Amino acid sequence: MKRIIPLFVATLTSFFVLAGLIWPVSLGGYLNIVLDWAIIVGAMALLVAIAHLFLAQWRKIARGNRSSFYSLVFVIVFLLSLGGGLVMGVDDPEYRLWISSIQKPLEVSLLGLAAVVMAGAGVQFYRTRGWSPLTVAFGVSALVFLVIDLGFLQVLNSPPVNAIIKTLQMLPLIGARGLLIGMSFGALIVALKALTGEGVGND
Amino acid sequence: MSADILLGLVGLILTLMVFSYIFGDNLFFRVALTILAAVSAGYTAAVLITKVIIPLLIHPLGATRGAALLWMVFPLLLAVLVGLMIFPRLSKLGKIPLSFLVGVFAALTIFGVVRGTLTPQLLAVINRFSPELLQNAGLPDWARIVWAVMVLLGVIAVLLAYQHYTHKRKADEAHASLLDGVGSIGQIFVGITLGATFVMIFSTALVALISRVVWIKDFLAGLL
Amino acid sequence: MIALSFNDIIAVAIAILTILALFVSWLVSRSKVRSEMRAIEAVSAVEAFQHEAAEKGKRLLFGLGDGLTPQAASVNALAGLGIWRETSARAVFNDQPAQAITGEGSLALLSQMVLRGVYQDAVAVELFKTEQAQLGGLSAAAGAAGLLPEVNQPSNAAVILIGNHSPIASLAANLAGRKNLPLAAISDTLTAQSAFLISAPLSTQGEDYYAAQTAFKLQSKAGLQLRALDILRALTVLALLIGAVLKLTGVIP
Repeated sequence: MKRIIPLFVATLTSFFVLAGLIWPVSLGGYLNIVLDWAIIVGAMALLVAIAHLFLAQWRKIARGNRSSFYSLVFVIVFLLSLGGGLVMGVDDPEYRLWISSIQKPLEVSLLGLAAVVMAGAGVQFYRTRGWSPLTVAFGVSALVFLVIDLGFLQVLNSPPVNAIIKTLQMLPLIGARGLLIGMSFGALIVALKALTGEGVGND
Repeated sequence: MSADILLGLVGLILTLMVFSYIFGDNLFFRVALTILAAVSAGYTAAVLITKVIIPLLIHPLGATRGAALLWMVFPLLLAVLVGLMIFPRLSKLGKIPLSFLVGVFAALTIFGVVRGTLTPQLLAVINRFSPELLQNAGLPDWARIVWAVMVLLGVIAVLLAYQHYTHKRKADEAHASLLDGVGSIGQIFVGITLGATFVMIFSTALVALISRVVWIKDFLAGLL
Repeated sequence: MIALSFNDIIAVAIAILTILALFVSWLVSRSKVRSEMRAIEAVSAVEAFQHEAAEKGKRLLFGLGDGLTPQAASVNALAGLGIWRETSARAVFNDQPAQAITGEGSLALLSQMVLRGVYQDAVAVELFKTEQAQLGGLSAAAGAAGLLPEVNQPSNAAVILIGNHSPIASLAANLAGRKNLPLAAISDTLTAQSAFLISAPLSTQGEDYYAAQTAFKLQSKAGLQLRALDILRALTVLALLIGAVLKLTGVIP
């Protein structure tokens, strides 16, 4: 019985949403209502997950763990960000400026750091991965597209070179298409399995 | 000190804290990560409360009367059941709203994948064989013919590269080695795609890195 | 009567064939046809990591990525929950239970729900703690920011990144490398697959993502899914070849 209710809810919801997508004229209005509900439930789920995260940090402080200093930083910054948004309003220009002044440098720097890390990993690529059709093609392709991306060859303004570049740029589309088709079938099967209530616990 | 300079200093310090990882994992890097996780969680929570929960759930409850109110009962019930998951003992109550959510996303995936991805991708391969496309002024356009065949065989090779099961019978050994050969060609196409994708993400990350370095230089020049 | 376009007919055919493929793969799995699954190093490593964790009295760390967001309306993230369930079930009474970090709210609650089910099955629901499956951070960078401090914990035996990750997660692979922690990265996005190919010692490409659930050979359901994929692959190859001929001969407009 415990398994049947989630199964029933997932299946019924899926069939209704699919029907709404297939017949938008007759069911589109109801579909929008159900999607609004999904947004509410998703938002609530996110709030609960954030609450769990906050409580976990709070408990670490209470226990005086080795990492409780980081938890203290988390709790203070979290409360300031949340409180600021609730008191000043999330559309307040000053609040947004503060948030973006903290978030943007951190996010962009992390992405920049990823470039350093990937460049470092690239040097040891063949040592860690060995030689195979995949790794050789990957290495050659990365090198070729890096050169093309630099734009030096395009400066030559030579029609044969430009034709070669154009052909090379189309090559990744073949693999991408094959990968996309395969991945899509996989996603389709996962979605069909989800209709049977799988992924929503097993008790 | 003006707010601009203060915010600039905050940005500078946070940037340096992140880049300190280059010299090894350290306290400053971890603090920067903690700040990012906390700010994003706090800001998202504030947005969800003020932009989703209050306008989509709380306000309509107060403003709706009669039968229309019944439409609000279901999302309210689902939201309350999810909300109760905050207590570990009551977390099993969340199974119904989460099943609802999974159901919605499963349907969106099925429709999106079948109608929006698979059909156009398969047709894009087949449509290259349109007789009008393969001719130029009544004569065969060999460049396009070669390309259409290459796309078809390339996509097939990529698909076969991920064959999961092979039969164990001895008679199938030749078949298995043929599959391996085609699979290797498929791996080459996959490698080319991943290599090009890597350059794309690496370029984006590199631009991010350069933009931070330039920003630091400009900010320091402005201070001096 | 609803008029279906050519694209609609293909879409309906794909949906029906997928359901049929699942049915046929179920029939094949019940027959005595002996078949061998292609070994995928990153997937086989998961079971080895599990044993290593149990032997060392340490934990396995999972980065489940994000998913189930309106932006990426995909349930691919659920594929990672199967392996999370199996690993957690094997580590219920270990010194250190497995730990999961997610980058999205619903997925965090689903992973908790799965974990709770595992403890309930083991008649040890009192040991269930929400901290064992929690949110790390929102957005690609914040998700990585939430994951990295957990990679840093000395109690880790190995790290498994599975699900929808961004290339920034390559920082987690780098940190694990610096800590000499084994790591397997199994992602469903092309960008993450290419980033992990270069930065992670073990990773999957393409639809090998869906093979992750076969890491523990007990999961026959996962095998069913892969057999269905194989059937669909064969049908797609046939459809492409026949479609190309029909197009060339003008049978398809």
